[in-house]
Amino acid sequence: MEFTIKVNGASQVVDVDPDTPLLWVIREELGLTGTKYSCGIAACGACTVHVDGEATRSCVLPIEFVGQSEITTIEGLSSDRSHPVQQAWLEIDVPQCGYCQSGQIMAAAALLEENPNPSDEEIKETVTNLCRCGTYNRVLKGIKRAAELKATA
Amino acid sequence: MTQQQIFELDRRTFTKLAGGAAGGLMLGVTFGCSDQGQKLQGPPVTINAYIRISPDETITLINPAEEMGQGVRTAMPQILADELDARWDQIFVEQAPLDLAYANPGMARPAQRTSGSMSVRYYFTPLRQVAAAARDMLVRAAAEQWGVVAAECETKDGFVIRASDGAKLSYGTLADAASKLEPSDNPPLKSPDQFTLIGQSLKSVDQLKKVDGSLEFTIDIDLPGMLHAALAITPVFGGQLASYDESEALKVKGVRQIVPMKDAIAVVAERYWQAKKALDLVQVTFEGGDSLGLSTEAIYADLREGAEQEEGITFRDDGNSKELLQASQQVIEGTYVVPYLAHASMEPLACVAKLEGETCEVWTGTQSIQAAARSVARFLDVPTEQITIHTGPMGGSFGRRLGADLEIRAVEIAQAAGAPVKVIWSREEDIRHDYYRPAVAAHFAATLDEQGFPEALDLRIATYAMGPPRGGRADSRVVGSMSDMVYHIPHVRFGYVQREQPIPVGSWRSVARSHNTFFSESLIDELAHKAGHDPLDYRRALIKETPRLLAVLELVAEKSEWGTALPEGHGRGIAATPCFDSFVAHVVEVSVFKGELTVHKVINAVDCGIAVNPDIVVQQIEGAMIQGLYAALHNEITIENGAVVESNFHDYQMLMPWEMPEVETHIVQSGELPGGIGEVGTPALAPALTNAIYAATGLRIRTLPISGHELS
Repeated sequence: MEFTIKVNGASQVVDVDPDTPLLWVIREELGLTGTKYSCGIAACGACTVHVDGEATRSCVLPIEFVGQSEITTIEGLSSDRSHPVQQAWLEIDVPQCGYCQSGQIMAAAALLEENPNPSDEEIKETVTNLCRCGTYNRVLKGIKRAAELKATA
Repeated sequence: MTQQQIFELDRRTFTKLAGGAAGGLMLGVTFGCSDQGQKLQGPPVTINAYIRISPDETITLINPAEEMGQGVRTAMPQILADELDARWDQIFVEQAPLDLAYANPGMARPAQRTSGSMSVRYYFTPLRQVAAAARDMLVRAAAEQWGVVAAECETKDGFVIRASDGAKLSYGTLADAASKLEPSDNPPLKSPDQFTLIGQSLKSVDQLKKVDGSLEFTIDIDLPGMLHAALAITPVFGGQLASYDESEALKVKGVRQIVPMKDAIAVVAERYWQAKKALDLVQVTFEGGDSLGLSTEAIYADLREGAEQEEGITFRDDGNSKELLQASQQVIEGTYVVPYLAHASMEPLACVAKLEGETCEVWTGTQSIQAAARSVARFLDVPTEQITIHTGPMGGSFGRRLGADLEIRAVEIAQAAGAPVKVIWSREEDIRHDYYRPAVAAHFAATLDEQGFPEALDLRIATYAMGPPRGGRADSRVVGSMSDMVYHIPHVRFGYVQREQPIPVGSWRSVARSHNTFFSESLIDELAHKAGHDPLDYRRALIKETPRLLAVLELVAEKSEWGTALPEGHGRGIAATPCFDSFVAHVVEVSVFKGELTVHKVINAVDCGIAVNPDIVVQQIEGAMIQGLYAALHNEITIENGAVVESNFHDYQMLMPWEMPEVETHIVQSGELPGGIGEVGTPALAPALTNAIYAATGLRIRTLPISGHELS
C-alpha cells in the first residue's frame, strides 16, 4: 500500500504494508540508518525520532498512523552537526559504542524545544533512553550544556 | 609470567611480523575507516603493517583491535601517532584486516582478538616499537637527502627537522624514500616525559559519526541485491526443528522463502520487517533438547550442593586450612550464588553474508576475526583463504561476539537463499540465545585469629564449564582471579567443582572476576564485621603486600570521606580488586527506607598504569561500573523447562536514568606500563554495593540480583 510521508522536510512515497513500523520504513525504504533498532517494544528509545516535534519511539508506530505528520530523524536534525545537542555531545564526548546515541540526541533535542532549561529531575524523567555502555551522566551533562548553547545561540 | 616478560617474549615475533608490509595472509577488508570522511589523495606509501603515509601528509594508522565502545580506535592510534611524532589532525584510522601481523601480543597462540582488556595493555610497547621503527626510517631518509648523519635530525609534528638550521622535510615527502630502507633492529623509544599525545584526553575517533547517525554498524550494511532474514532458534538448548507450516508466512508481501535449519527456522524477505512479520506466521515446532526440563531452581540447588558438599579440584592449598577448619569450634561460613547473565548489547546480533562461487564475504562486528574466518571456512568446507571478513564497529559486545555463531548462521541462510543476506536477531532471540555469564555458587569457611584477622579460609566455587574439561585442571576462565587473591591469609585452600549443564556459557565483561570478586570482597567484609573491625582498616591490614591496591583503596576512602557520619538509613560499602594488571576500588553510598534502596553515590579510584587517554579511562571505569551496578540490581537470566524466560528490556532491565547515582572517578598518576581498562570497573562494584546495603541495614546479600531480596 502506498503512503506519502514527510521526512526531514521532504515528501516521500513508500509502498509498504500498513502495519510496518515507522522505524523500518525509515531504515529500509528511505535508507536513513541513523535511527536504530534495539528492542522493538518501545522500551529502549534507540529508535527515537520526532513526530511533529515530539520524541517518539518509531519501532511501535505503524506507518498507517503517521499521516501528514512531520517526521525528523537524526539525519534531519541538522545537516552539519550544528544542533546544540550535537555540539554539546561532541564537546563532552558523550558516546561510547554510539549505538543508542541517535535516540538519546533526538530525545534530548525534543526536550529542549519544550523546556529550554530542564532540571536534572526533569531530564531523568523525560529522556528515558537506555544505554548499556552507561553514558547516563554524560547524557545529562550534555543536555545541560546544550541548554546553555541554545540560550546563547 | 609478568606483563613485562610477555612483552620481552613476544617483542621479536611481533616486530618481525609487523615490520613488513601486510600481505600473504591478507584476506580481510575493512569498512568504517577514518573519522573525517574525506578521501585520501595520492597513493599512500606503506611504511610497515601499521603505518601508511600519503604525499598529502595524511597518515593512516592501522588499529589492530576491534571497537565496541571501549575506545581502542582512539587509544591505539594515539600510541602509534605519539611515537611516530605525527600530528593528531593528520591521522586516519583504519581497522586491521585478517592478518597475523596484527595478532595480539598477549595471546599465547598468535591470534587477533579483542578481549580480556588486552588491547592497550599488550600492544602498548609493541605499537611504540613499530612507530619508532617508522620514525627512524623517515629520519634516515631525511638525513640521506640532506647529507647529514641521522643523529643531527629530530622529529616533530609530522616533520623531520635538521638540528643545525631548523630546515624541515615533511613525512609525506619522505615516505617513499623511507619505505625503501631496512628497518633498524632496536630504534630508541621516547621516554615518558617526551610523550605528546599519550596522556592526553583526545576526543574519541568516530564521535562525529556517532552524533549524526552516520556511523555504519553491521546492522546498517546494505549490499546490492541483499535480502533480509529474521530468525527463530529452538528455545530449548540443543533442540531440533521438528515441523513447520509456511503457507501463511509465504503470503506476506516481500517474502522469498523459508529456510529450515537443524535447530532453527529463518524467513528471507526483501525487507527485515516483512521477514519478521512472516516469521510470526510460520507454524513451527521444535523438539527435544539437552536442557529440556531444566529450571533455574534445579541449577541453583545443584551448584549449592556442589560448592557446599564436594571437594572438586583443589587448585591452591597453602598451609593447613583443612585441618584448622575441622578443628575449629568457631567457623564462619556461607554460600553465595550469582545468576546467569546475558550480554544484551544495544545493537542486537546482526551479520551479512554473500557467497559467490567458491568465495564467501562476511560483514560482521566480531571480537575475533580469526574465529569468524576459520569457523565459516570449516562450515563451508573451503580453505580459510576463500573467506573475507569485513569487520565494523559493534554497538556493544562485552564478550558476546567472541564466537562465530552469528557468522555461520548468516552464511547458512545466504547459501540457502542464493543471494546476499543480512540476518538480524530480534531482541528476544538475542537474549534467549546468548553465551551466558555462568551461574556460580561459592561456599566459604573461615576462622579468625585472636585479633580477628582471617587465619584460615576455604573457598570453593561450583559452576558450569566454559569448555570441555582440561585434564582435571581448574578452568582459569572461571577460577582465574581466585588463585591470585591478594589478602594475606596464612592458610588458604581454593577449590573448583565442575558441573555439567547444557546452557551455553561464555565471557562477560571482566570474565571470572565478575563473580569471584563478588565472593571474595563480600566474605572479607563479612569477616571484618564479625571481628568488629572497620572494613577499610581490615583490608588495609591484609593488603600491605599489594601497594598499588592499597593506594587506590586509600584514595577512594579519602575522596568518599570514609568513616564520617551518615544520615540514618544510609550506609557506605567498600571493595577493591586487581583486574587485568590494573587496580580499582569503589565506595558506594546507599540508603534503604521502608525496603526501598537508593544508590546515592559511587566513588571510583583506578590505577591503570600510564593512562593513555585519561578521559576514555574515566568513561570506561564509569561505564563498566554502571554495568556492574545494573547487573547487581536487576539482572538474572532464568531457565524454565530448558528455555530462557527473559526476552527483552522489560524483564532484563538496564539502569533507568533516574536510578543513576552521582559518580566520581579518580585516576592514580602512574608511570607503570598500562593495565587493562575496559572491564576493570565492573567486578568490584557489586560487592561494594552489597557491603553498603549491609552497612545501612545489617542485611547481608549473598545472592544476586538484589531485586530478588526484601530489604526491610
